[in-house]
Amino acid sequence: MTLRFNPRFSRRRLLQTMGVSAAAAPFIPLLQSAKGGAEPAPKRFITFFTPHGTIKENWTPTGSVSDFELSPILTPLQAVKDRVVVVEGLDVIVDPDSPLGGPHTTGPAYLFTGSPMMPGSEFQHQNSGGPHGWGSSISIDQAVANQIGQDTAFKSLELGVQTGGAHPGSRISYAGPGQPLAPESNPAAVFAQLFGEAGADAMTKAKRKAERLSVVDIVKDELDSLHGKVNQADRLKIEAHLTGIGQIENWLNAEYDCEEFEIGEVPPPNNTAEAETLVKQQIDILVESMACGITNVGSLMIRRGENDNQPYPFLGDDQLHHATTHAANNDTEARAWMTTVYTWYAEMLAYLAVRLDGIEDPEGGTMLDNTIILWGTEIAQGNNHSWSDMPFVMVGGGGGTVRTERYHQFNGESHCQLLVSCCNAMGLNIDEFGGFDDGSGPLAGILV
Amino acid sequence: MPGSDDESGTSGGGSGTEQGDDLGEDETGSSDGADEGTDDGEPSSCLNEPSVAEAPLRRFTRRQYANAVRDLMGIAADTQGLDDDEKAGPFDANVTAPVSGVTVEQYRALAEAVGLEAMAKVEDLVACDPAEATCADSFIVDFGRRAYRRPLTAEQSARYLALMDDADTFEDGVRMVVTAMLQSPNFLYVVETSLPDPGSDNIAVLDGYELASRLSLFLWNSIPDPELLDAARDGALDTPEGLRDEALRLLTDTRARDAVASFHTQWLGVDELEHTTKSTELFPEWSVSMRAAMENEMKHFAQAVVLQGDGKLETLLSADFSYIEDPLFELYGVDKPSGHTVGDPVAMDPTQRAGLLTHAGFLAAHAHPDQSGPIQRGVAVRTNLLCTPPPPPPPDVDAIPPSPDPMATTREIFEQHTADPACAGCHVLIDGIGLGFEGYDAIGAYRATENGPPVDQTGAVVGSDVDGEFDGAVELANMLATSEDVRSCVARQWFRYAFGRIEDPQGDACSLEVLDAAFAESDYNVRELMVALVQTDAFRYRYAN
Repeated sequence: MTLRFNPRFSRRRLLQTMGVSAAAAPFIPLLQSAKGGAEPAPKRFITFFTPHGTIKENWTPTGSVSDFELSPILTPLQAVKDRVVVVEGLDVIVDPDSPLGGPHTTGPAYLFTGSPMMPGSEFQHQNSGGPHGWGSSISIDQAVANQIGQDTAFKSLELGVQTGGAHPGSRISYAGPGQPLAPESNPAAVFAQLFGEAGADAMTKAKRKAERLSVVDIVKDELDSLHGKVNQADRLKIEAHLTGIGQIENWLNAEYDCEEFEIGEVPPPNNTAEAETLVKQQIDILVESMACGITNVGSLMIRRGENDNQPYPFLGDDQLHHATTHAANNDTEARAWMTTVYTWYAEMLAYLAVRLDGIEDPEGGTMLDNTIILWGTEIAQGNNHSWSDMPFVMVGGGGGTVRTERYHQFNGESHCQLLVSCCNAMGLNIDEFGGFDDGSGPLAGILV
Repeated sequence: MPGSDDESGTSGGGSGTEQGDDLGEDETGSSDGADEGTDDGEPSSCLNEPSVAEAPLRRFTRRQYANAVRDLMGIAADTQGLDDDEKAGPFDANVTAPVSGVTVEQYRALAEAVGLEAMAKVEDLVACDPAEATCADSFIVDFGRRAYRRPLTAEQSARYLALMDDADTFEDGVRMVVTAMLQSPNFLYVVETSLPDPGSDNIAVLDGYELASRLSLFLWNSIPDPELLDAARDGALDTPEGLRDEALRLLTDTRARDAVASFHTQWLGVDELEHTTKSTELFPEWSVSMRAAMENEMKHFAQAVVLQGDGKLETLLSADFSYIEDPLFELYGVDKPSGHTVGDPVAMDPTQRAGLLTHAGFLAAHAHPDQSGPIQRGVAVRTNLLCTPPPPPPPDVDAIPPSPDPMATTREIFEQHTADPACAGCHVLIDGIGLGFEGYDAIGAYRATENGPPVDQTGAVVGSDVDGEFDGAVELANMLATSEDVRSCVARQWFRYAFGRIEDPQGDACSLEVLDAAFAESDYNVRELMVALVQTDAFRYRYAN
């Protein structure tokens, strides 16, 4: 794929378009701030999920806080090591009185919400834990999006690759209690919406927009009229649908004008042999969207927390990931294979980071300098299903807020503190995040 | 309730108000005593007033969406791009999580694609001459009634007419109307807004159109046809008898096959085969076509028994015949009869196979990639057939399945569970059943030996009305086929399937009592159970707040 994108040019074009568009009311603040001239580059935030923990001895860097060498699994991040923060030793400290399901099921919700599962009977793991509902609180990407995503065509993009179905093990983003956000797993669908119609002539575009807005109006009115008629408990469903329709309306009114780019042929989204192609395509879409100012927040879920029993044939072996993670500590063959898988995850993260680093923000720095990518997983290690000593990695400067190139060794602090640090970096003035948070505030040493 | 004693097997399900008194008399003669709360003196759950638990707002499943578009326009909508469905119990139902923005966008893109296809076949969709001034209006009224499953309001019609007026051509107008209606909440959700009578305790009688949608979604997994909507309009669905008559009509239509197939494949987890992987080393024959053949077997078998056959639960659970296609002949070790065509019944080896629980699909869906799955199979029987899901293990248990060992049998490996007193309490419930399936490997093929010695297929059912030892899944299946606990559980599973929700032990007590009685009266005929279901309080009323 050739990158033919010029962010300076396109950002300006975006603003010009909006300046003449009567329908661009929600975007006026951005326009004004850009005219001010001295505004900093937009901050961006991405959650990045991969399943089933890591192999700790091959993940852990060597050295001290500011003088360290990356581990075998993290080696792919070498190219952006000066923007890497390795965070070792945090625990997901679960409230033992909350509904406990299978660790692979609840871990993805715990990870970025820092909160327990809702009580309920919807999900019952076959092997462990009691029944529970969906996650009970907003996830960090959505909390951040509420802060820095209001002036963009999309408040956030939820993308995934082979994430599985409507199940807590397959969701990392939550709009609020019991409101999981499904990721789009088909790059072709996202691409078609965001960039696919860029080539159409102005008349066609205007006609399409008018048609779609007329449909949006009908749907909104019908939702509004149902809202008061359905049972109390169902009103949230109507409101969520209104939110979804509102997102389409925002998209239609944004009239952004991004440089075209090639996504290449999109493989069938469920083809496990093509997972790497699909991940890179989703990353390309996310990066191009951020570069063009369509969104500042994204989440990328690679495969699923609940039983990623899918092969990674493109890595040269057909072993099933989840089955292999159960191998014993002394099974060197299995651990070598898992190290290969986890290194590939880091490669995908590095692909994202390097792409962001390849694009300058007009206001200063590369996009990576102004972004935080937070990489997490639902359990610490596959064969112990533990939430102790979780492997976290941050990449990016967060717009000058993050002390980068650091290797932190914590000792059982709550991962909620890391979520607080990320929120602080993104401009949220909070000192607690999530129902598991004990109020300890942000982690020491992460932020400038 | 009029004339229940001369209305064949379907009379057990009637309106709740009169049911309580009838039941005792109707059921006293039933030999099985399914009718707790009647002849033995327990009070009936059915009071004078109808009772029903709150039902959550349902959004179409992917399958319902596709079927609806098929029935509206004869168009095959590609719903692969829609987000996966949630489940209620084992059944597809979008009732808990609110819709995601991504899904709303998927609805938009799909509606636009279907709209374009509709534009290309306007002559099939429009009964009138587009040159006539009233044609747009009559298209909107007719199409809208079917898509919304009730007549459009004047305001709704006017908005769609405005869309058509703004369009360049009639065909373009049809495209716009289709595109918009398929994104309407009145299409995508099962909207029920009937209000209770003042002072009637939040219980609302569903109107005819709401009942028509419930009927067609339950029995066709799709939208009502015009005839059913007419019945709704004419008040024909306002009585239990009217609902029964329409249910009987719907069950004779080929669309009923979808409901019966969907129930059984979801109930027994065979719909999950799609996400099941098997070791390519141990099972090189495992393939997409084998998986599809397994799913088809269960669909064909269930349809044949329930819709064309004797309808008996006992037959479903113990039949010595099935409906198989390649490559399952080889997997089952059955010779393909000469002149066999797909859809013909095939005699199975009665020492190896008996009904649904010995279908390769069920066995493969409840097994590991590289070994059988005694725990999964035991849990599935307890959860889905006995409705007694075992409690989860304590949180500190390492619930990781042991690796296969070429020197040991699966039974030996898993016997740890029952040896350890901390585990035995629950695992005797699970493993006693699950190890009885040891005659079948990870893809459901029969095996007489495992790693050398003959397979020990003995097991024991504990904690049910048919407790006892058995030797192999055929014996187990025959025990379960006449179990009261299984019958009661199957009735509850159909309840969950019909409503997309788990039954409420209090609010739905009367409906369940009526259902159990009707099932017993029909000698456990699933077809009759389905007909009885549509006459319950839970079907006819809603809790409004």
